[in-house]
Amino acid sequence: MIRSRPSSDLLVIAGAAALLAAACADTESSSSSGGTTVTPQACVPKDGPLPHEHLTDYCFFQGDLKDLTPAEGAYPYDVAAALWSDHAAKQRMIVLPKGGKIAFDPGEDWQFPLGTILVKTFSFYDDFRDLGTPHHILETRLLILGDEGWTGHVYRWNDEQTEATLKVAGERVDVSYIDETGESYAEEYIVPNTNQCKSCHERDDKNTFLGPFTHQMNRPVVRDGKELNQLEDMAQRGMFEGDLPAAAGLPAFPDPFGKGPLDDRARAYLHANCSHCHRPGGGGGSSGLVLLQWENGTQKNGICKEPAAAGAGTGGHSYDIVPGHPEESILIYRVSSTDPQIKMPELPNRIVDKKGVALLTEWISAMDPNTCQ
Amino acid sequence: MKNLRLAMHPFRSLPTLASFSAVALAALLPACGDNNGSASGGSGGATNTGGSTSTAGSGGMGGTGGSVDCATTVNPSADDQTAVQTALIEAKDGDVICFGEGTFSFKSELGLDTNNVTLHGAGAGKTIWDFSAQDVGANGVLIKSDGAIVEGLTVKGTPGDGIRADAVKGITFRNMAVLWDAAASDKNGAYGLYPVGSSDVLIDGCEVAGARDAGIYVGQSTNIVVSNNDVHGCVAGIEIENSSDAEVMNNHAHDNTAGILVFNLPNLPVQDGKRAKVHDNIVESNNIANFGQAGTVVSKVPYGIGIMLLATDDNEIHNNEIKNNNSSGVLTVSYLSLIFGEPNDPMYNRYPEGNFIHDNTFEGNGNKPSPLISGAAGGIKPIPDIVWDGCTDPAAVDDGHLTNCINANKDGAGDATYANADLCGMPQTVDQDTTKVTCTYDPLPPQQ
Repeated sequence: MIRSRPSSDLLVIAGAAALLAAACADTESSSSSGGTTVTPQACVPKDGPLPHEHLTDYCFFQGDLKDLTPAEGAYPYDVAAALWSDHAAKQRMIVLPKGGKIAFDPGEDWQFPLGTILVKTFSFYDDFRDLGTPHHILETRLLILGDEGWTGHVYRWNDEQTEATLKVAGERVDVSYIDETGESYAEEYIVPNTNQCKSCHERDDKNTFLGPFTHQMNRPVVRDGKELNQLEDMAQRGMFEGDLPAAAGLPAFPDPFGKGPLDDRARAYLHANCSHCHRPGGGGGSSGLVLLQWENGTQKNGICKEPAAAGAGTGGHSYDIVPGHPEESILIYRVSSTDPQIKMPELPNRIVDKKGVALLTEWISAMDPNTCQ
Repeated sequence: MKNLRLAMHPFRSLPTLASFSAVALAALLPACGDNNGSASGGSGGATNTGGSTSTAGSGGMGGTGGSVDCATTVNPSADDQTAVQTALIEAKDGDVICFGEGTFSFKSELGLDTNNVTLHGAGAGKTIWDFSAQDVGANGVLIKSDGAIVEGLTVKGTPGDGIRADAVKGITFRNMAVLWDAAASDKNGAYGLYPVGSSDVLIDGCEVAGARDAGIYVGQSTNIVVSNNDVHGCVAGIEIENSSDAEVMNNHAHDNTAGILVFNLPNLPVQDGKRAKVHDNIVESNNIANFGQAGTVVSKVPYGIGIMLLATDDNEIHNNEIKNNNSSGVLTVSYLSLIFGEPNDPMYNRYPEGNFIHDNTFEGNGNKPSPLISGAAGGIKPIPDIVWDGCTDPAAVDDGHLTNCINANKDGAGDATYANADLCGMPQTVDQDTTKVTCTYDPLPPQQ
């Protein structure tokens, strides 16, 4: 089995060695487990300027496209705290240019080599309780590092799941599915337009990547049936310049829905879902609310902080966070809404992250009560 | 494993976008020159709103002299969302994108990301961008690129803000409108024209009506001109917040809860806004009930205010015509805990200092004050034209620009009336002696 399932849990890529050995190939039968009798038929990336018209022009995947089997040189990864995307499952890959290496940084400032492409594919299962049910891939988003920095591009998959085509203006797609708890949804999924990439990815006037940095990547993954540290795995594959510091000494986000301390989990969640805007230089920087995991200033965290320009988003409440009182906190009001003038984050758009709201509610409830007066 | 071979091709330079869209656009959108002016409002400019095409030459919108070189023209179609958003994405630096007459309907926020792009409509009221069915995005239009000009169109019915320009250098809104159907409704969006964290802001010749917060809101910005606008039916007509070096002139701010606000608020990344030059505005009849969302700062502003200065320094308010505002003509206040709560920001200075209010004409203000103002004024009726809460910073050092000065303001044939409400006094002693605050400062220079 070389199939990589979009999943926010431990990434399972059995047969990664086979994957690495195989040439990028059109291997219709390659997903048979164990055996590696593929008949390589090299996928040749298209020439010409980027972005290409079609997803297959890049040769990111091998075998049946809808299996999302990473081609040689495409490194699939998972993050500790995922950005909620209206329930979509996501598969993430780093594709370095030939010979390119990442200059490691213990924080967010990983320096990727020119030509790096980050690939993220969004899909829905019919039933998220059973990942064997058909899944429908809607879009693949690329961040391409070129001379002028990172640029975002969106590829919309066809119904046959055999190709995805560059789409600039966005689209609304009807999706229906059953979530992990058995609840049924029938919703419109919003494929973003190209300009909306910046809504999350721009800070200080430049686009940047959000997921692959130390706190998010320093986590256990399962490869070839073995549990190992993702950063160490990347290092072993020669993806970093120089030596990686011991992973155990590097910062790491907990799973927001795992077993770590509540404050750590809530801050990891806020970082992943809010800090791309709510930081100095980010799209929500002018609010003064800073939700970086390592920002501990009470005012900047929103504790007893009056909103700046929330409009209807206050819900009649006076402070972003009223300790001990989630029901009086603007933050909870906004993350619980799907009204465009109220909701946070501004993107995505349709489905409230109930688990996230529950986590943040628990977090605020556990603070020492304070009326902020 | 060590020698992971990468099959990907070497990087190649990126052009702006793929080719397919240009073809699609060509089909959808006739080039401007082929348009014969028919759909783009080049009908002679009799109403001073025509002339959006290169062929019309009819003057009108934007003060651009009438000749506009449209890189492309978009007309209303069955899928305005795709057509307009695609045009915005495909725009190149310096392009003028023209929009024909008629109503464009949008369900999602539009985004502009390319520098120096002009969005040029056939005229406010002629080119209408209707967002009343919008269900995605906090703004009607979000501009993240420098040097944008938006002119000659009406944005209406956004559930959130009208047009936001975020952290840009250079943004111009001119001869356009942001409207909501029902005035003073809690269904309306918060801000109409909304540059924030920006520099070189020009808002000229626009109409904004019905905003549930501020019609024209300039926040955390520098080098600002707000001129010749008509702002009404909003909670705050024009608000300059945590911003420096603004010139607010020749506007008509009427029938809002409050006409023009110059505010400095705590807990924002940009602090200590200064030097708003507010002059030659007509500020009248700002008496509508406050319909702001509870919890917002403007929801705490009493109705009936002409011009209000909050915790802001070194502003010059002069030669304005301020009339029939039922609570007070010009109100200068500190960040009073009673009204605004505790600032909870150690870096924040809550006192307004060094403001200069002169040569304004007042008429008919303060006759039906809101209870808050009535109570604060200690029983004086009508409420004086100019009211200061009288609170001073005990730690302030007089650098020659500390006290608030008033000078040569008129009410009818006489001098304008004044009160120091002494709201921080124990006990309160309202003082109407103008001589204590009669002084002058050097005038602020105009913005370029």
